[in-house]
Amino acid sequence: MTEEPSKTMTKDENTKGVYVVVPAYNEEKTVSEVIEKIASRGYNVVLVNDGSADNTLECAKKSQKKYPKHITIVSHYINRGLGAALKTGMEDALTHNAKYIVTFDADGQHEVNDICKVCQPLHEGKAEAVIGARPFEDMPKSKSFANSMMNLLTRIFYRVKVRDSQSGLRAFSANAASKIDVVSQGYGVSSEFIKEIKLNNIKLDEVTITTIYTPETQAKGTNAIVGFKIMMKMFLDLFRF
Amino acid sequence: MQQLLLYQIVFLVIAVIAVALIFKRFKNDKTSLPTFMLWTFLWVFLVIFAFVPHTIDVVAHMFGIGTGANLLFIISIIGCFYLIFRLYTKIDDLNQNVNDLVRELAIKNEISLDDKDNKKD
Repeated sequence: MTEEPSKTMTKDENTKGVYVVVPAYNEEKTVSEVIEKIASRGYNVVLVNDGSADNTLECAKKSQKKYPKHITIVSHYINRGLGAALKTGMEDALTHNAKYIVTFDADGQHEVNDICKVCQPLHEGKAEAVIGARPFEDMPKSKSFANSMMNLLTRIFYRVKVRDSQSGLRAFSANAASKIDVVSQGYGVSSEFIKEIKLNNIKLDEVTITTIYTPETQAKGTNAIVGFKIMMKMFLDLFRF
Repeated sequence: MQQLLLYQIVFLVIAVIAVALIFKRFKNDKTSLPTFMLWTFLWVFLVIFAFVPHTIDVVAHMFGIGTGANLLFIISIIGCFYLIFRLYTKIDDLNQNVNDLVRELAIKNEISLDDKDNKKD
């Protein structure tokens, strides 16, 4: 679990003020490993338990005891969806005076080393928002197709061309995070982030990240049905003012 | 004088009760003036149509619609769509309110073992 403890010290500069928001809904199998890995690198973790029906919260609390200085838990009493969970986590991170906020999926599909990568453009002042783009050629065909369609829809509806609109690994500066206001409850939030980035004229950058495909990470995420739901949501959002 | 038909009496009674109820709500500040007026007009028109049925045909012709019955159907369908839209927006608002509440409670009840963070309200 506590892999490469020596890096905790050496990466102090990189991890200072970086808050990693991990939204979790029924992720008891992976949540501990994910947040402990992040905390062991010296990052601050804000775990958002989104009304999980399983032992996600208990697992997170156990991990918190191991890394009391690095793990903070906020818990939704009832499930409100990915968008609300991310919003809660980002808001909580801002109350801790976070410098950079990274969103990171709890299902174990992201590589902890990529946190540093997505923060790099922020450190360098190249961008205020960074999306970690997953290479589509590494994805199973169905996922790659669904994600390509979502990129196309994001481009049509929000007029933003991105390499991976549905990625869960993103990084924001505190300033950008305070401007972004997402209302989508489900997976549609990923596209909404891009819409908000564009609306608020936030400078966006993309970096390539690695994705770990396991049965757990396969079960969730963008498939055809989720894609259709997101499309309907985007369409309905056109009438929202 | 022409004898009243049963449906006309039933309509009249229902209309009077409905207007009385909406008036009571309006008096107790539970309904806004436009809503009160809308319902009152609606019931008055329905009573007029019940008592003088051919007036609906006249109104239908004014809108270029063949018969009064068609006009009633069209108005009903539009009314239903409007109600569904209203419900949709209401549910959306409620959903958003629940979200805000749940999110605020979560942040207020943050679980932190770090001493310096526990100073938060």
